[in-house]
Amino acid sequence: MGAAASKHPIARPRSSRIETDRSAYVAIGLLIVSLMLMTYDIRSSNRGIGTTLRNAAQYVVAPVQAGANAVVTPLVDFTDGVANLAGLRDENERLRTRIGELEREVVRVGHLEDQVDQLNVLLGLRLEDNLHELAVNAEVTGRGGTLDPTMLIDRGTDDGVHPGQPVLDGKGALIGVVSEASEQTATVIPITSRKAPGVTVRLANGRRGIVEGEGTDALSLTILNARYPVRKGELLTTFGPYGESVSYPKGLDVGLVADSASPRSGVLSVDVDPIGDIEDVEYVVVIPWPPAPDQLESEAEIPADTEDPVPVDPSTGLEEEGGQ
Amino acid sequence: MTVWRLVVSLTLVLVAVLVQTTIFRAVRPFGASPDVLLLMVIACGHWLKPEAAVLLGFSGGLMLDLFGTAPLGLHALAYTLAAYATVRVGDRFNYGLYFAVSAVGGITFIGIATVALIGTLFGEGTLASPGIVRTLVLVPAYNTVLALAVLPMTTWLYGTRLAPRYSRPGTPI
Repeated sequence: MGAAASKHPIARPRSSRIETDRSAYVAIGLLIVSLMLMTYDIRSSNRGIGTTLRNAAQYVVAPVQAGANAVVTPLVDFTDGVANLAGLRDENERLRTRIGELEREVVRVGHLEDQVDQLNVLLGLRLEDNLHELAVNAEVTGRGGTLDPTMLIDRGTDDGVHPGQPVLDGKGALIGVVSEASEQTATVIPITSRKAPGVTVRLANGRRGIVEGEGTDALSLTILNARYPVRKGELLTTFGPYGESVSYPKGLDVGLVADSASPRSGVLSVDVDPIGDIEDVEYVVVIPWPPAPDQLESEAEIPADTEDPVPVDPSTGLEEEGGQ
Repeated sequence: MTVWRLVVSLTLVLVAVLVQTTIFRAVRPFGASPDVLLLMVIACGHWLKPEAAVLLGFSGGLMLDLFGTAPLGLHALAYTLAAYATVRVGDRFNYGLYFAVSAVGGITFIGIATVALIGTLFGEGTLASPGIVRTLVLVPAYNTVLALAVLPMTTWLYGTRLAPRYSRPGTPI
């Protein structure tokens, strides 16, 4: 075996028994340290030394990441373009079919938009236009690990970006929320992550539901006390501050109902396709809502729903239907 | 020379962290990207003393933890375990390139599965994610393919450039 090993290009010497056993103690010690770190980081809830270390690390590597992105992004775009040439014919056929579907959808969406506008006026919670004017443009400079969908952006508290603010993609669809912010960078949790706060959404006819992240690239809609079905393709937009969902202003596109579904035992649960391109997004917009963390509490109060079309179940804080 | 090996390994791991969080944020064939950091921990750890290899895994994982929102220490734990697995199956790397890349795939699976399992226990809900099976399959597969190039390179680096003067490639140090 020794001769064979010496001829092989990746051969390396064997470790002695003593070294290997000692490494087991080192490994056990480091595993314990890791578990302690995790416990401390979770208990400190984004306020401990972990956050400080993260901010420092991201501050240091942000320029390097920006440089790498400047080189990599054009190459990736070029490669994508070449790869897509082969499938262009099938894509054209698919798009023709899709155009037909969308033309039918436009009629229905127009009707929904009218309803949404009316409800916006009634509730007096329309997202102020100046919020969009104050929106902070940012570039996604990095991602977390293989199983961590976190995004890093190149704007921070110096630019008016604070934890809790919603993040949109270039088309105005909600894709996440700022979880941590240093002076020049910030961390964004996608709404598809289980760690993102649930989004209270508005459906047709003023119904409410909660959209929560299911993990990588997936959302689910839950409506308690549901009586009516939802249809495939139904548009879900943010309801505004309500109950525990205080992180999102009103009227942001969230997703489309993936399949038609009916309530079972009073609960309706269905998958939702996010509108925002969360996996491949390169540029985002941070909405300064609230503009600073200390305003979160006051903004989070449940509005006086003088025109709420939906009766609310006080035991759940949720509910749906009504107004019909 | 041992110190140089450790310094070079840490540098390679740091570069791998940057590559993982920048280049592979955009390059995600079939919805998953290779875990180049884990690959580098395995490839470099194989050439280090066992204790140093385990420390390298811990350091690399901790660096990656600083670039996400996962609990600090999650990747450190998983990569420490992967590095220890590398130490334990070190002999497999001597059986040939194909045995070695298979070992890389297996250890990568251990590392990723550990992240998913421990992450779930700590409230991340990773194992319930719809794409978890795809990730658990594709990431080790990608790393296996990349190992075909990375392992010979580390062999050249550690076996010749950073080898002790009295040794030659493939001989005990």
